[in-house]
Amino acid sequence: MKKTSKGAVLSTLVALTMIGSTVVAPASHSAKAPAWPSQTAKLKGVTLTMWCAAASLAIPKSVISSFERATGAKIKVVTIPDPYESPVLAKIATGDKPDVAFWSPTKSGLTSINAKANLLSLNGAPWISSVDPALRDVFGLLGTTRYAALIGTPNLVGMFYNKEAFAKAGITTLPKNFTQMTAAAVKLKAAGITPFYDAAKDAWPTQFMVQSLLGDAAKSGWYQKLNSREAKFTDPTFINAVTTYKSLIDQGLYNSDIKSGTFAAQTTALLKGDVAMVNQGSFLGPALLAEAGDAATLDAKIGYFGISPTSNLTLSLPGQTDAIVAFKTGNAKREAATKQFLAYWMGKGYAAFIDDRSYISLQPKVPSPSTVPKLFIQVASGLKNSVGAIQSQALATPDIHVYLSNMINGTMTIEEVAQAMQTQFEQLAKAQGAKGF
Amino acid sequence: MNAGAKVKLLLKRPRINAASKAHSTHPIWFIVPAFFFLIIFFIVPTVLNFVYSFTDWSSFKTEVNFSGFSNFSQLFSSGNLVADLRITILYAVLVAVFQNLFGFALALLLERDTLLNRIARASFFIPVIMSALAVGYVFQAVLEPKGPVNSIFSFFAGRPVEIPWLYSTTWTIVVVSVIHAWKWMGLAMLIFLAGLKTIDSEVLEAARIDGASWFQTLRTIRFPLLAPAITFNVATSLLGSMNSFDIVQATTQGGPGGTTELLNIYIVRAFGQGLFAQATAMSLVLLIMVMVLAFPLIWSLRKREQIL
Repeated sequence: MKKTSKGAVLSTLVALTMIGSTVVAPASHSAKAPAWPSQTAKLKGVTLTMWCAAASLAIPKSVISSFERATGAKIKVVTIPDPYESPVLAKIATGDKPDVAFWSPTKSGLTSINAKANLLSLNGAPWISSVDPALRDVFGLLGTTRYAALIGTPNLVGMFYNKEAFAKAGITTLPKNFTQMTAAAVKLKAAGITPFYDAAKDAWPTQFMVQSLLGDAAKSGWYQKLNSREAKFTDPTFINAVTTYKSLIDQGLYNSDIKSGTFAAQTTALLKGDVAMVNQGSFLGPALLAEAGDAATLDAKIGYFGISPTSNLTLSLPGQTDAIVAFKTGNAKREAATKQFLAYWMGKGYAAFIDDRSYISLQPKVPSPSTVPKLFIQVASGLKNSVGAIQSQALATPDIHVYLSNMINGTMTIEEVAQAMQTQFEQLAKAQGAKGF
Repeated sequence: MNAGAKVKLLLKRPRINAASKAHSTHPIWFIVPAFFFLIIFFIVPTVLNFVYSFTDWSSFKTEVNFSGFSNFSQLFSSGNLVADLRITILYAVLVAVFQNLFGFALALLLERDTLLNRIARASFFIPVIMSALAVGYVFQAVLEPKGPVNSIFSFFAGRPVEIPWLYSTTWTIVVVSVIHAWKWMGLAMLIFLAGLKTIDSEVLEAARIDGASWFQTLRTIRFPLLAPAITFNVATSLLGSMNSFDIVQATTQGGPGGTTELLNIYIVRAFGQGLFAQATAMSLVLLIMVMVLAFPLIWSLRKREQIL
């Protein structure tokens, strides 16, 4: 008897609490500030933390100081050591979170950071309607939820070439497909110019040629087949791409110091004309510009074209410098301030931001600054004829650069590269709890 | 009471007194603070390391589920773990050999207490207190194919020399272990020096009077008497370099072609991919490996000391 009455009291209490909370909930919602506060609302006493990589440290500088001036908020920038992604994941795993951070807006990037649990939804953000419709929903979404804001043209991958080197070898028309590009490479070699440069020491640049060789497959949905286990890295599609890449190296069409090659040396060699072509991401542009000194010199020397086996396809591969994400910190005041910061960055502060960074505008109403080199515009125009790289399309990205660099060093065969890719892909997909793995 | 019982009582009494005295001068709860830190910073992480190895902990999801031995079976079946373990052990052995050779040679060279020797000892100790990453980056720059070392060789050879110090799939592991040994040789030197100082000068004098040469004294007297220093140096260099990461990361990042990929570098790579449980499982394997090596090694080195 006693027991039942106790139980009854308890259930009544639970019921009352539930009723109470449902009654109270809307009231507290209406009392709270709207989900997207005014961009310049006062934020005195609020301090936000932003995580940047060494490479992205300079990007938000100007927009942070103008936001601080406009609102009175403080934004503390913390540099996370390279390689940015893994220390960030490690910190989050131990419960350390910033308010805002640079992060790759790709599907695999957002999955690896467990966006659903860790990031704020940016659905309904005020800036979305002003973004170029062609770019609006390409990145930053996981399912129907938006987690990342693209701040500039996403990183695109294709061939940067030295115009003088091409002229010297008598190449007047740009290659329209891979066969033509290989023919041009042979011509360049005959003229005493190293056709291609790759950097097995830094390893990561080695992935791009193989990814370009997979461009057509990517366009026809090969990565989706990979995700649904209908295709494998051990299939001819991937094996052939790696084989072609290796045969270019074996033919001596690459720099002889490919094993000790680095990104920095690659940039210098291309600008000097020691090397004619480099398959790289659009971040090579700013690196080239810094070395060339000014836009006019850069435009006179360097050009760009996309490449795949059959066409001038460009790969899109957004990296951590291309987008920002906001974190769920559990502190409503700071979360609102973070949203306000993003809204300001992409809103009132956007024109000054792209002007400061010489970025190409993503918003048709905000014109790109006149200081942007033509090369950057040329690369950005590749977006119209582009396809997502493995990082943008596959469930997970194995360490392709490590395996290719091992292959260049002779410690792995083509088949072993393919097998290692597939094994690691399955491992990562399984860890994500992906269907069928 | 017979005499035997009396003796027993007499023997017993002071023992009780000693024990209680010890208990009152340093009671057991004195170790509580030390134990607290030991538990928080050593025992708990080790236990968690053990526990998380058997889960599917990853960056991709919030919940952590028990997954049995699947991490281990996956690791051993892929072959990477075994290959990296082999590299790690080879690296540790090379480091132990070089570090002790260099340290011992330096100790003999700088044994006498002259001013010059004191300065030299201090300067050879500087790399020990330097940041390992800094050491790695400096050597990485110095050993570039077109770097200073090859330039010096080119100057003397009279033709361009381009030795791929850090790009040989066969020899780079030796180069990197020499760098590691170079950084730590000052410590080995110091311990050998301390060991040499403890040797009784009368023994050495007697040997000299008996007509023993410098080398004979070294081989038959000084080296055997250095056994405790050797135990410490071999154990710390071998087991310490099993946990190495920084120097290799700064010089080769595990390359070329994965030939210097120590287990710790592989662990960081797995962690970077968000596979936390697998990385934890690997570090458990490393811990077990170090223990498997440590116990017999230290036991056998200690045995050498007992024979003395």
